[in-house]
Amino acid sequence: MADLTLLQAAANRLKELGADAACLHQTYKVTCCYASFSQSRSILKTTDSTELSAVVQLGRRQGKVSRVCAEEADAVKLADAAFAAAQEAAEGMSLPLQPIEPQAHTRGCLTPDAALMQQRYTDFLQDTAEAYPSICIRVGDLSHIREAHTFLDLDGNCASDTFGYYRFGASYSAVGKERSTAFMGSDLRMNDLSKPLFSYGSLTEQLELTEKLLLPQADHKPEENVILFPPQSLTLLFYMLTESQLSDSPMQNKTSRWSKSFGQQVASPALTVRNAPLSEGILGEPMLNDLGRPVQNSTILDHGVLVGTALSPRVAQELSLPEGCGDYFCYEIEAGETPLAELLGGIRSGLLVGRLSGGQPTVAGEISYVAKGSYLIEDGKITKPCEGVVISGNLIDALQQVDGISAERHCNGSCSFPYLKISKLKLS
Amino acid sequence: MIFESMEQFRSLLPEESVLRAQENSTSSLALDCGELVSDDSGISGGISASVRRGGFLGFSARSGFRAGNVDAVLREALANAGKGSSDRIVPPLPAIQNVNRMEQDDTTRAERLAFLHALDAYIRAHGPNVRARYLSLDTFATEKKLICDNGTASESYFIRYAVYVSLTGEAADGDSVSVDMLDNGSGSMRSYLRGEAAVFRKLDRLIDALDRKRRSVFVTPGEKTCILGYDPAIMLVHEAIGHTVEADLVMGGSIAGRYLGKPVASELITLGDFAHDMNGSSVPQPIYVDDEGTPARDAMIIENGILTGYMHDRDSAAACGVIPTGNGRAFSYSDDPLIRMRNTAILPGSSTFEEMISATEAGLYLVQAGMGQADTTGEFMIMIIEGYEIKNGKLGNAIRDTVCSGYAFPVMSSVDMVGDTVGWDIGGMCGKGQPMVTGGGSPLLRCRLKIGGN
Repeated sequence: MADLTLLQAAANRLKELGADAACLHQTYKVTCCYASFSQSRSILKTTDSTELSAVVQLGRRQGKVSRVCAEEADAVKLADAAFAAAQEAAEGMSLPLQPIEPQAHTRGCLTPDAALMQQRYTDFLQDTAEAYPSICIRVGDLSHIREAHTFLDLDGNCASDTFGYYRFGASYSAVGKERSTAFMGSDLRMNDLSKPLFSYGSLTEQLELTEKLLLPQADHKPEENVILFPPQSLTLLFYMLTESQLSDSPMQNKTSRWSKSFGQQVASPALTVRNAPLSEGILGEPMLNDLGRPVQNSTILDHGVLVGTALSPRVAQELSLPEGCGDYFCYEIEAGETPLAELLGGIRSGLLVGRLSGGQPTVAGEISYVAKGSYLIEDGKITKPCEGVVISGNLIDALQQVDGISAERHCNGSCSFPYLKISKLKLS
Repeated sequence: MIFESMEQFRSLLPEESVLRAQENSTSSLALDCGELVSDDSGISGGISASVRRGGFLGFSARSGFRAGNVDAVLREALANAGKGSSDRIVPPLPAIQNVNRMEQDDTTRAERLAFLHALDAYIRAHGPNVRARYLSLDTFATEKKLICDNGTASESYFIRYAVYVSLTGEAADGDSVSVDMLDNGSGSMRSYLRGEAAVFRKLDRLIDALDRKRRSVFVTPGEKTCILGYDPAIMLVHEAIGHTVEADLVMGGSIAGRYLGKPVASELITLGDFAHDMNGSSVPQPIYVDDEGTPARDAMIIENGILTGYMHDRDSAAACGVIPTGNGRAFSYSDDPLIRMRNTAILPGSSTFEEMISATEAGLYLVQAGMGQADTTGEFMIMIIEGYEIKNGKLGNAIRDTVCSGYAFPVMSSVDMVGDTVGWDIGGMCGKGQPMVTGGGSPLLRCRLKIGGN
């Protein structure tokens, strides 16, 4: 049972002040992390924090404030600040608060095995040094994170969500005698440490590809504008696409290309994209949103038809469109039917992207990215590293013709993507 | 509430330890076409302790400012330090006492919101072709109190504000086009709010930039002579050079590790990461003691085109056999210090803006950057959201969004004109595992760049 002492103190104070409604949210977070930075230093870090946020309703006004809280007096101060913010707030900025639906969730691994963490991380560093001697780990860390979210409203309704997971992250480059490569990264979330880190294929595959970037560079760019996007390159692309096209401002002001296309075919029928924090295999994502409401998966493209948004509840209601699923970053694309080998085999001359460096698409959908850690594909085979290629064009147009989606899909615990083959963007 | 004094805890400190209390405060207001869409504030704070055993650190942090937690974090940090090992000898630091507090901001939320509405009304009245406008005003303040077992005591308070304005209009071909600006500074907002007229002049320029962009032309790809405005030049300094000369990244294989003592830029370029002043003038974010308790000093990186040094914390300095520069910085109470930039800037040259434009036969003037990224090879890309053609020594058409890219050292080696005034920016957040407020400065630079086009 969650400790409600701080929340109850804040709730009592808000009732005294005369608030109409409130959603009080306590986040208790405990982390344990082994980390190293180049050959510079190593650290064992443990943190323990409690933070409260309050959304307070006064008529049609809402105030929102967050504070770290150690004792009941802090919670009372938070309540005072949130009440004052509600008094000052503009009317109608948010939808009226709803009662919290009582529920309790407990998931994942709640207690870390610190000794095993140290062992697994040390093994990873040793295994990497032996298997990939050119790889230099710039930053690596293995953490255990436990979060407990508890919500309380002024009627005493309470909901909670407690979860724990392990997270491994590393950023590395290959260092050769003549040159070093661009840095690449790996990110995994796990429920346990039963397997050594080196047994995760996506990690060793990425380390191997990074080391091979030291091989002699291609002396030419691909002859055709065919791009094979691997799973790790797609997260940022789809997040930024969604934000640039389907978030509050471009949708409300009708400035984005997709702002007038709801319910229409905007992309290839092969493409189904979701923001899906509740999908199987996704770890470390709260099941309740900031207002204690259950989170829902959100389909954005259903076989190329625009059916979802990234809208806040208020703007979604104003526009009579479905709301997005909040600040989640859990994108997934449905797998296709073509085996990766076949997808690759069909490319005469193209580019296998490692990582995209660049910014958000414009509201018109235009993009410019530098392809980092990329390889030339020639006659169906990955041949040589290929640096300095710029990918440009209009992503909205390009998605209308996706040439292939692999049957294989990688899930790293936060996103799940197949390989995408696209030939409507320009390589220069 | 952060502790009045940390001295009460000094007797608890074990050998080679740092105790830090820190509180970060944020506020955020945003208007989308005149409608208030964001109105948040938050305070996050607590205490942390680190205990060093050679190159291995034990670290522990807890939220809030309960005196009873101080002993707990020190004991936990000491226990964590005992779980690792390192042969590295990290030299002791001299003790230092310093108080470095900016004036606290006394503006109210109502004043800040009224200011934002005044800017919005001005745009509505003066920008007939503006289809959408988004304005935000964010403040970030951090207060730190730190003591070390060697007698060091440091106290600092820093605050910065950032006003962001984005305007969207429709181009002749029906596409939406946008321009934006980020006006920012450090210290209390009071004087900034009083200088409303100066902000309106900047809005006039932005509205004009949008009108010109509505008639903009697509730029042809290729290598071009470019005059980098303050914004993209600062981004180049930060992303493509600054990160490559952070010593932890140098030890992780960054390109800069191969060039110490060698030419990496034109002789016109001198670049440093400045601690508390530059050429006798104040910098946006003065730092006198870093979060490891190291007295901060300037890290000179490039002098007259030669790479002369890196930014260091205690560990990297010990590994490289040099004196730490005081670049160990932590964003929040629960973060351990990492090597981060402070006020990274290129010193001014001698060319005026007019001289630089008139001396350019054909090229581009790149005014405003969008996002930018670089990696440790020095390869960078910067989105350009406002730029103009230069033809026969004169500014011409506005250009549509494009990207400029290249490798930092060759690009800096191509610099043949350096502007006579340094522009500073402290509005963004750098990301390196933790966020961080960093200051950046640069004069205008004329150089050769690859332009991506469309």
